Amino acid sequence: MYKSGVKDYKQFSKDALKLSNNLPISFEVFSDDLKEMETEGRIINSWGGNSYIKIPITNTKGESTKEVIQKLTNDSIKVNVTAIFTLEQVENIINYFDESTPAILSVFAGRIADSGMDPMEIMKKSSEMISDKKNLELLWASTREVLNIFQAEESKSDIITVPPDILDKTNLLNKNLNDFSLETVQNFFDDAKNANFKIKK
Amino acid sequence: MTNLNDLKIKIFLDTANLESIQQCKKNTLMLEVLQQTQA
Repeated sequence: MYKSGVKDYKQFSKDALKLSNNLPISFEVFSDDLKEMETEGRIINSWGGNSYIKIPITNTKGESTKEVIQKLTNDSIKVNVTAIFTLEQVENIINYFDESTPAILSVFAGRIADSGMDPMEIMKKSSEMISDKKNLELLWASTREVLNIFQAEESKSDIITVPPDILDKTNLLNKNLNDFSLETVQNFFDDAKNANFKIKK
Repeated sequence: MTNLNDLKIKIFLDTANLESIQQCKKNTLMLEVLQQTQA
């Protein structure tokens, strides 16, 4: 968020809520203290709109936020639990959500893949684990490439978050690979020409 | 043919940039959640 130039979080959030036109929107808490996280969640929720409060699965000390999740969802405040990486984390929290309050579990599939592990099994099993919880949705987070959208669909994830640069690349869907190859060669050629590189004898 | 509209999965925009949010509203693809941090 800092990278995006956001200076006033409350004003930014209110502007984003206006633009979102009551579509769901997730806002994060900043505190590392569990009690303060809950308070921040309640404040953000009071800003209105179709908000989900982003609560990390633990604080930086590794303390579980399950009681924060329980208290907020018991008061009908929707949460988006983030930075989930393991099936154990999913298992440890699924019974802490109020069953009548919608909530999202964000599993960081892209970062799991960054570690060299295929995230598909974790996503598929997570989907199975929450299948009888009608209020819970599984989110494929930290998307790295367009292919992830189709992997997320295959894993039976309900949602995928896609950054704008990857969303732009969906224009390439169904592109003829021979044409793509030719364009790529042309790009290489143009780059070398612009750089004025020459290989001398 | 691969078509995003044939998928069941919901695609949410991951951005903290108001301009990106505004631009996506113009797309035909419905984006249902606007995340605030880059994951």
